[in-house]
Amino acid sequence: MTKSAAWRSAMASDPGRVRSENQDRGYADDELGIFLVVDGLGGHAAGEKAAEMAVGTVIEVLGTEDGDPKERICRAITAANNRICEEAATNETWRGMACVLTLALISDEKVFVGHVGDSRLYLTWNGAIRKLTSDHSPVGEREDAGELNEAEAMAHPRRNEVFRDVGSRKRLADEEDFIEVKEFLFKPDAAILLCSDGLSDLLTSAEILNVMERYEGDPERVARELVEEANLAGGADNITAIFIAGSEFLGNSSPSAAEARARNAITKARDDEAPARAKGAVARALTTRVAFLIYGFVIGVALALALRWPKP
Amino acid sequence: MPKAAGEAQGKISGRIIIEQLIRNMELGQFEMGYSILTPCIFSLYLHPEDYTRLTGVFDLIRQDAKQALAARLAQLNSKPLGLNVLRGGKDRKPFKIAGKDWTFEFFPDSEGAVPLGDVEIHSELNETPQPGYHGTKTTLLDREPSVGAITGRAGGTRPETRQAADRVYAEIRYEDDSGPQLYVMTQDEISVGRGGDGAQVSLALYTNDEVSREHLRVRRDPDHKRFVIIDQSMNGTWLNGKRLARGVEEALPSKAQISVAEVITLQFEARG
Repeated sequence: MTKSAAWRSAMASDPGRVRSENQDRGYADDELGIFLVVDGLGGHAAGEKAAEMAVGTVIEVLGTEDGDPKERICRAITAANNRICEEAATNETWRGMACVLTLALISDEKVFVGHVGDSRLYLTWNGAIRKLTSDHSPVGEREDAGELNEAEAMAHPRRNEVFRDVGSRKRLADEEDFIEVKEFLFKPDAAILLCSDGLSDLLTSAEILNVMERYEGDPERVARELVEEANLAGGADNITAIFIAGSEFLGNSSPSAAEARARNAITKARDDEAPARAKGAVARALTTRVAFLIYGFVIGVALALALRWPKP
Repeated sequence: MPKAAGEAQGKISGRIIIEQLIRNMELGQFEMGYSILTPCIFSLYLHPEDYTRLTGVFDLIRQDAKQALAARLAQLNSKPLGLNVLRGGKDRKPFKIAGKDWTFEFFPDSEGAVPLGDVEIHSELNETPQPGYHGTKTTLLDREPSVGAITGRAGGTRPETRQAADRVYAEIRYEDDSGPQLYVMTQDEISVGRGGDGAQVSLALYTNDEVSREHLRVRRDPDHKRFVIIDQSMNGTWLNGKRLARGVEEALPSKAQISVAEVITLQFEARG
């Protein structure tokens, strides 16, 4: 069995509805089993530059080194950190640039994770979703400790603060409070999501689960729909999602379940804060697409009639 | 809604049921191009004690609810057009129901998920309701799963009905196939198991099928702040090394080791 037969993946990234540039970067390589979401920090081009440098360096180091996956991950992220830091010192434009990232390396039915900041890795199995990374942020820490519930954390004004990053200062690979490393078993009937905070700040875990469970064999559709849902919810930040479905992962995809889910989406906890948000978003989008099809069909028929039966 | 939540500590009141029906109807709106549908078929799940107590007056509640929801619908449709015109808004879409009439079905909660004084409401736009949890869901009290695993049933409460910040009752540390985990218990009752196939558990273990879909429950007595554990599994639950009898409540010490089918060990610790 080749590696890529054990799972299927897809990535989607979008600047969102508010920002003009996309400082998120993603990388998904089924052959190497490397998946990476990076969220750039810093003004204008600096954030993008940091995110690009992180992707380039991490892939380069992971691709050329062998050995213990956890050690490779730490070396790769540390190399990215130090390279960004050095580059920032050379040019005023790049000063203060940094990023946060979540990296998953799949090897021998295991997933090895390297994580710095507030991007996230979710694992879905048996109808439940689990957030496996901690948020390295004041708000995320309080949420993980149960002091804030998910809705409170998502609405918190300090939501965007992080206390770990990649690139703001030189680091050592084994430094404490830098890289969170973990591993878990990738069951064939499980699915994984890596995402930037532009997704997880706008969609609750239950909402993310609902989209993941629509999976019917097309991972691109799930990745795209996650980004679309975050945009419908406001698209306040850049949004990146990498969806990886195990070979036996099956979403709950019956049409009636999907229809019920579309309506269920209206009693989400965050409706109060965003009353204008599209309710029953999927149903509405579908209606719009169907409407366009009908318009197209009518115009097509009209044109055909006009051409075939010209007036004498 | 602090007032309503406070009242909900005791028996359910008729006013709470009606208020929650209205809230559910409003949250369950289905907007279309030229009109907005609201649910008209409601399944209400009550604590078994509340259910028994109210059995004789369900018809009267139905009548009152019909009147209240019809009045709310009329109110939604009669909002002054002036405001809209002033705002330069588009024509307002009328609210309506897809069915011929309002329908309300009452069910006793068999999952132990609805506390005394609470009502869980599932609504549909026009299908015939079937007993079971489905459709648009609202709850009055906090029963959201804690941070960690969130099941498909989550997502029904509004922020003001949740009060996780000062309500961490216990911590459960364990290691399953997803690695070491911490589960924070913020509800009076939680279910633990591997979930799936319709079983929605609060703490969803990522493990093998030695562990039952719903393996055990932990319940907190809010008055005495004590905990009990109930085994519901095929392969057993051990509390501090002693196997529990299936289906029998056992006192759970404030610090305990719970073995789930001898596959996973939960380190339970009550807080406060």
